[in-house]
Amino acid sequence: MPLPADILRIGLITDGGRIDDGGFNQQAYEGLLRAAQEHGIEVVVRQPASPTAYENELRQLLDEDCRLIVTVGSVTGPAVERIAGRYPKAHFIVVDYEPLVESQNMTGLVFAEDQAAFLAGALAGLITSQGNVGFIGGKDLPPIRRFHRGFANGMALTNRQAKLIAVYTNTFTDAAAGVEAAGKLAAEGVDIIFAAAGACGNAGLLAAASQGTWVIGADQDVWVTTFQNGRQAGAERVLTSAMKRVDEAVYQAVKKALQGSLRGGTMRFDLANAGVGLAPFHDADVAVPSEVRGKILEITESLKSGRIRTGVGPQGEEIRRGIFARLTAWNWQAALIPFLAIISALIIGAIFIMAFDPKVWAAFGSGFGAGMQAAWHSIVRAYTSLFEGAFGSPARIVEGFRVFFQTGETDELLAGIRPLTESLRIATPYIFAGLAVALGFRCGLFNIGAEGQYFIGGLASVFVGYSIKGLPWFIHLPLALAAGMAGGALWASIAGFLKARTGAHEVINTIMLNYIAFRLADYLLQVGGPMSRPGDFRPISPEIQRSAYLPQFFPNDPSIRLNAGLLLALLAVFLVYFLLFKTTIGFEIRAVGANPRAARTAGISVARNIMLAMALSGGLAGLAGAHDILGVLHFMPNAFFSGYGFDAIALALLGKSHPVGVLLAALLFGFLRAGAQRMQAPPALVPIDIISIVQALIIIFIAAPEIIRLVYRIRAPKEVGEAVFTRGWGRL
Amino acid sequence: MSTPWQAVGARAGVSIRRARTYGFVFLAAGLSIFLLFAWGLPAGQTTTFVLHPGGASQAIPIPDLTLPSQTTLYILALLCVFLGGWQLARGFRRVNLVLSLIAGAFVIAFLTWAASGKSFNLTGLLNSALLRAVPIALAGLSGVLCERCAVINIAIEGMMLTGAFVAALMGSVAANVWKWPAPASLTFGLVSALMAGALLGLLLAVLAVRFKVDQIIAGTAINILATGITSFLSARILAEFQYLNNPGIFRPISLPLFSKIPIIGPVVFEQNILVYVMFVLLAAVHIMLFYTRWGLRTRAVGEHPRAADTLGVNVFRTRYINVTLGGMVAGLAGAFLILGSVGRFDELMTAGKGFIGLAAMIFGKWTPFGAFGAALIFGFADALQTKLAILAVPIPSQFLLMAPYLVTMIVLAGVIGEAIPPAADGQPYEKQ
Repeated sequence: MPLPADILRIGLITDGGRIDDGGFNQQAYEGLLRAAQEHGIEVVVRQPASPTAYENELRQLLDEDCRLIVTVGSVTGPAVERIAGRYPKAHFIVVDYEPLVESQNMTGLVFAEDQAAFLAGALAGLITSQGNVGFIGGKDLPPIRRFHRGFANGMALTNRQAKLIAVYTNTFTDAAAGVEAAGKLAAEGVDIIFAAAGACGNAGLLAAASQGTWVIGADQDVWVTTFQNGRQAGAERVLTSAMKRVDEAVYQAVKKALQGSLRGGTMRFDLANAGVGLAPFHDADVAVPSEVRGKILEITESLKSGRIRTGVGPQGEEIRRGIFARLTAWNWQAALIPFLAIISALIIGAIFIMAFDPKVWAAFGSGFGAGMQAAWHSIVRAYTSLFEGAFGSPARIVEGFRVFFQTGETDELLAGIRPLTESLRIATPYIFAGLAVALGFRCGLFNIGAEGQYFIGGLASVFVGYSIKGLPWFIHLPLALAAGMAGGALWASIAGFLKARTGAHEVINTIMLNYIAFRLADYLLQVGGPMSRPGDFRPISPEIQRSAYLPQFFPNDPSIRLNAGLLLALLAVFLVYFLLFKTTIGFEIRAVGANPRAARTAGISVARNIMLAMALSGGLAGLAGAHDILGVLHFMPNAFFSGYGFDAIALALLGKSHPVGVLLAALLFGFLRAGAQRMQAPPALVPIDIISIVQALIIIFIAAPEIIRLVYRIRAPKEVGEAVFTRGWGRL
Repeated sequence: MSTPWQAVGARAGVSIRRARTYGFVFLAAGLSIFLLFAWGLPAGQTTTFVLHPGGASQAIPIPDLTLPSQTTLYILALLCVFLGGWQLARGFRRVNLVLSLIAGAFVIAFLTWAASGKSFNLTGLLNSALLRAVPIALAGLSGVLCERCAVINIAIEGMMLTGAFVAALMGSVAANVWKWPAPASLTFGLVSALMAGALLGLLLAVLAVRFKVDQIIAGTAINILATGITSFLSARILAEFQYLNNPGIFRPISLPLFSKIPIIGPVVFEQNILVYVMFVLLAAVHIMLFYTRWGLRTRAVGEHPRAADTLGVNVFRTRYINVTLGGMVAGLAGAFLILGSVGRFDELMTAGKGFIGLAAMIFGKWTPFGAFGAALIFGFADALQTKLAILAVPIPSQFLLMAPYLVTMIVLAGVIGEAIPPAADGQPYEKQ
């Protein structure tokens, strides 16, 4: 790789401490040495006696032909800022400092202390038994404030009752002050102390730990440094440390500089790039239960992906959490991409409609202008039909309301809103099926088999619906719904079981189960088959009992098929949300989905959660089938390709596997499908398969947002970890 | 959750449990041959296996094989019980070999039972099995090409569907609009299908390599896209203009001399050109994968892309090329369904063959001939189901139709622990 020829030696200036201080200076030195040795470059170290000497040392290093200089600590920042402008050929890296002015040749390395402290705080909240936790801060500086606030907010997340008592010693070096502060906190009855006060704080930790108080260090892994790899008394009470990986950061920055790719400005190090993090538990390993580990793991992943924020600003200030603040902090781009994906897919769909319309071809035969006009009309006709099929004609709805208010006659109004209700009716099974796939995704499972589970669910519910007679509706209907759910769950469980036990990939198995379900339905419903309608020449099941019908919203107008299934679907959205995000079961499912190895380490059974998630997923898909049988058709027709399986995947992706997102996506697809049915009819006459094309494009655009960003020239957001959806064959 | 402990388990207690299970499976096979088939079969009936396809076949005629049904079944049942007992008592070294022997015995028993009192054309069955195995084997080969360089191609189904559609349309256009003679129009259809497959392969490669999309999601999106586009265009074009869905088919070519061999001749050497192309492709990919520089690089990229990159192999380019080639082969598989088989396109006509091909690839341990061998099993299950319908066995046809899918699931569950995919399979590569 190209090495800027002018870097021959690298200088390091400490904040005054020694390079074997076990702190930042040592870490910075080690990181620098590692990078320099890889390139065979000499390192020159200066340990100035006082802060006034920084500028002098810098000049001397520059005179000694050091073209790259690393300085440690925010105290060195101003000196570097004064010098940097005058030496444009040299480059300066300052640890723990954010340059005030944009400069080409000065790079500050900044750490998200708040994230590490947030994790430590969350851990403290889970471990504390007294409910009192102490904090020792050194001077009131931005990094220390970030430690303080991050810790407080992390603790508030896991333990609302716990109280944080903070003491600032106003020194980083005075050991006695640290011990005194620890003693004061102990008197307040704290059972965990977190210290971010350098040597002063570490002395306090030593004292506290030997008294049996849990302690949490900052900056370095104090078990290794202060407690000398566990040799010091009280080391078994070191819970963990909120680490800043200064060595790693310096290594990365120097490496970049040597490759000629280091830019001026600020390099940020956080959880996502392993610049900060929690230290190992060491001796405290046995004291941390597996649920706690799991919870910490989850918070780590959430912080990385940006789903949780620490609520701490760059200067360590508290970020307000009001509605307005939330709205402005909302990642609007996250909503922009799906929106643009849908629009783009519709545009490409329009091109398909236009390009394969025989009328357009004919028109182009009689001239280019006429052809273009026909193409335009073709698109307008198609999408007008789509709109009216989805929402109804606005004029008719207005007319309907007018008649209703004047005469109280509802027929006109009902006819007007019929397309809208039809869209909602179609959206209902989509909600169930989309939730099914989304729930699978959350566990790292790709359930392509919603289609087959839909059929088996339908078969089960229709069987209960027609074979049991004489029950009151409040028993029969729930029974039929439960049968549908159980059928789908059972069918999916086959794939779940095989995945958990043998590792056979669920994608292939659920597809195979789809085909088997079709054949099974074919067998059961064929004329004269076990579930066929006696005396009928069509391969359909008997009509279900009235008592198993899902109640209609408008019983007087049978052409409006919207039914109570929609309410059930909304309930399912809520329940899935609650299960996934508010219960231990849901947490375990998501932990397996996020990282099965880590989940297993945390004591979560991967196999059990896979089977559970698959069964739940299948149950939801089965409910989609039950809805169509009990709410709409009231009998089971022979197997046909409904496309639910594939649609459901698009729904889950579009909704980012979040129940509310799935709900919105399902409504969209309901409108699209209902509209497409109108589009199929005259005057547009567009085959309904156009919707599959649009859906596939939506999936592609959502799965590869970079395409959308390229097309619409949207700048990429600060990198956010994407959720893991699936993994290779059978490996967990 | 499978691989590491199994290596250990082979030496420790786990293998004993597994071996015992095998023994019981063998016993169960023998018992079910006795109970399901031999039991209740009228004595004195015979089963006739016809070993010559008849018609215009050039094979040297050999006499039919006539077996006493019940005796044959008893012998087969005893064989299974004996092997099971041996496995439990002493254990076989090559248990998988015995397992396939048992499976074969079970199938023969089933056929003997199904065709008792009638005659059954065995050569016809095998011929049809090979014909049905071809698209699956090609799909598996496509999978091998992609996954050996660590790109999971779940889009084979969609690529096949597109290949089939394009072959039908372009072949018909050449034959019925431009009035080209048959070989030329068919070849044109074939080449178009290859191009279409390559295009979708390239799309998958771009999504997987350039945009680092989850490969299974990218593949699924391509499947939906292919389903949508072919169904849309089929409704818009093929349904409207029937002559655009009639490309004709490649006629079988008898290879001189070889086709005279009894049984093997009519099964293997009286096929259409696409079947021979498949054999050539299998051999070519096998040799290229394991004996050429390209193959070594491909496998290196599949196992350890970082190491390959360090040694100067262009990981991205390798993946682009292989996945595009894989798409081409999948397109060929689709073209075969049209030009080598039924001669017209129907919506969703691939019916899961692409996915079955993936299962064949896994069963075949990511090797071309392994995938072909597995494809033969699936082809056999598929062919059996149609032949049995003719024999009027008392099993509902729907259950027979399930056979290929059930076999896929069983095979997948049985082998996945032992089949080890390329180490980097499914992971996008980030250059450092």
